[in-house]
Amino acid sequence: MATHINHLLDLEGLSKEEITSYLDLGEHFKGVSQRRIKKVPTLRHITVVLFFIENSTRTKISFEIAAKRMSADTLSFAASSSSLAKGETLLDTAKTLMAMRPDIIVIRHFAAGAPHFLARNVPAAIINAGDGGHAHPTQALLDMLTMRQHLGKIEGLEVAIIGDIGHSRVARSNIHGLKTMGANIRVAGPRTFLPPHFNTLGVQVYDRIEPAIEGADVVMMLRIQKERMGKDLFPSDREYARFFGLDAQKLKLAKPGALVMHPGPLNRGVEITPDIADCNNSVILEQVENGVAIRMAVLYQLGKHLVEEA
Amino acid sequence: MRQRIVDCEILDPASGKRFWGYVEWEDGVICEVGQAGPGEAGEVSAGVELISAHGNLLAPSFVDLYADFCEPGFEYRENIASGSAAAAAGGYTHVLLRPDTDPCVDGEDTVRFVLEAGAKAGLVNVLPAGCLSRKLDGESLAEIGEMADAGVVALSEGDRYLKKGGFLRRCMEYGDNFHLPVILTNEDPTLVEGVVHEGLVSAISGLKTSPSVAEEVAVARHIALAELTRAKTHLAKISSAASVRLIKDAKARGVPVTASVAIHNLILNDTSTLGYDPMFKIWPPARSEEDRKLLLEAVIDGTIDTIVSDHSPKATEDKELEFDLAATGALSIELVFPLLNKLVLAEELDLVSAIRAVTVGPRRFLGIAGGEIAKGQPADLVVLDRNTDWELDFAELRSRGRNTPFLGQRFVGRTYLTINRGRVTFRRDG
Repeated sequence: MATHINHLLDLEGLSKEEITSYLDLGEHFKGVSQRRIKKVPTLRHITVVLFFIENSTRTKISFEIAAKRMSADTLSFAASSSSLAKGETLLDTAKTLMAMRPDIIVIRHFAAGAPHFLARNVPAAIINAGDGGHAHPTQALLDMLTMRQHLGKIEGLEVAIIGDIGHSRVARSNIHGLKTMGANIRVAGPRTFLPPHFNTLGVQVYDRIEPAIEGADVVMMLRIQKERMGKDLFPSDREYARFFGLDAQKLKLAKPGALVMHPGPLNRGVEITPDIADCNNSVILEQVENGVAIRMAVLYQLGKHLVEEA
Repeated sequence: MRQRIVDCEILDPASGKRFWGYVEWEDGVICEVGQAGPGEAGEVSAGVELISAHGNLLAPSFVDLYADFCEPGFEYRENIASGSAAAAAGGYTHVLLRPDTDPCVDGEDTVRFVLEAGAKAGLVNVLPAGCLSRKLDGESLAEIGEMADAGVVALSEGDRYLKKGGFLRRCMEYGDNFHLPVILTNEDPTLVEGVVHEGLVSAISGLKTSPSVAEEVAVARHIALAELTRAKTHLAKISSAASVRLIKDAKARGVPVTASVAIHNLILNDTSTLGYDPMFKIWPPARSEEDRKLLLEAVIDGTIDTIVSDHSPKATEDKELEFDLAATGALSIELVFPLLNKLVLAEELDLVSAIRAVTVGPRRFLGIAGGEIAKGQPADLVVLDRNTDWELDFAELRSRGRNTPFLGQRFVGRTYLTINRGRVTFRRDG
């Protein structure tokens, strides 16, 4: 067993060099996925458990493919079919899992801080695949990789993040990562989506999206959770689309050639119009491709010591 | 066309200045203000039409933040045309209407309806307020952005109280997003059993009460949410002395709140309910004489910056019932100045504070120009006769309402002339 285990719980505290090395590795592993034989034997001794307590299709598939391309063994563990649904605590479930001796646990959980709890209690490398409203570090890394590939660098970029900032782990991880890399961040959305004190994170906060988009190099739209609609955060799809959705008119305010990004899945016609989702500026599908590459990089970074020790 | 009103004593409530003179305007905007003695017109250029104020007081026109014109839905009580006529006769040029009509004003279509009906009546600027919640359900946000574009100038839930504090917070944040101020009434219904003030008088009458604490708890909540969200918030129809203290403290701390009192709460105290006459059933309830005195002080020191009419016309059949069952409220928009003048003549309120609270206070809250008599300001003016003695009879009123506690009472003073953007919208005959 490893004496010291590395985790990827969030991007807070990661240095510019550490983030850059993830991006460089991601760049490298993207090449693997583009080969005819999309597989390397690097992690063939490693067992990866995909421990998804909150529903997810895209992130889970992305991690699974990444692990398989690294030749790791994978095992899926979903909330609905698990003993957690029968009332077992997270700790007991995790200990049961550990009895099967996995090396890496990729966890998605509805509660912020759940990956940290796991990291304190089980002897495996933990990768946070999204914990409540807190962090989604691999998403932010893949977003930064996409920006770097298109715009050459991250430092000095004007990045607008638009939508439900307050509930978004994607926004939080991007804010931490992008700030470390030297980008300037603007966040915008209705005030109901912008908690007070967000400006203390070192971002500019706007309650209309136009000034946030103006002159931006990157416009990152966040997914609207429809279950929040018509309740107390926003009144309707059509009002959201009109005032806070990205359309051709609003995109004109950004720099020519600005990247349009979205972590998916899209609500076409709500936070983004179909023509913009599919326009030349849109790198949404590339984000998905880079997602696999970044997850290969993260699995490699955390798993390589384990292989060496074996 | 240039017009000049002459032979008037001018009261500028913004500066507190009072002098004899004239005011001239062109295309609805004041172009000249000058001094001239009683009966004199000053130096008049050719082609300027003169209007005589007959020695009366000239002030900026009145603006109301809380009135019910009952349309759509309750036209048997009042409609936008009759309400507009009543408002003009009361000296008003701008009236913010409650949105809790039927259907309520919670979308573009109802906003347009109200604006069009107001424009058709053509006497006052009918300013629609929009609901905070869809269909007044108290839990789902109305399409506030869309209503902002359609022309609402404020948000309100009428006399309703939003039970869910978290929802109110979201309403205030979302409304502020569109730069719409919020108007809130203040009564926690969980502390309420009836509609009269809880005190010595209710102990005697046995009527069910709405104690002061129900208001104070709500006021404290609304101040805390205004402080958190920084949304511009108006605490409407304050009636208790303890609420005034909370507001004074909040204003001193820079919380973005303003406050109003309804005219009736400055005139009546709880002894008025001893006869069980439903005409005296108003909301918030008339409280103790001590509360009333403190409300007057708060108007003078500016803690309460606005006096609202809370015009609530009702039909005879709404009021000819047992006190508990009768409808609440009184018509008032035509009586605000006579009632204020009564307080001035009784030396309970000074004239400048009284006029300031119906001109400057509400304009500042809504961000409407005017409120001072100076070059470049809109020619929104009122001429007030402070001397005529008259008796209140429904034949005197433009409102369709048939509910006032003051029927048959004698008053001194009333509106003589109302001028809206340079156009005379009301003139008292004879």
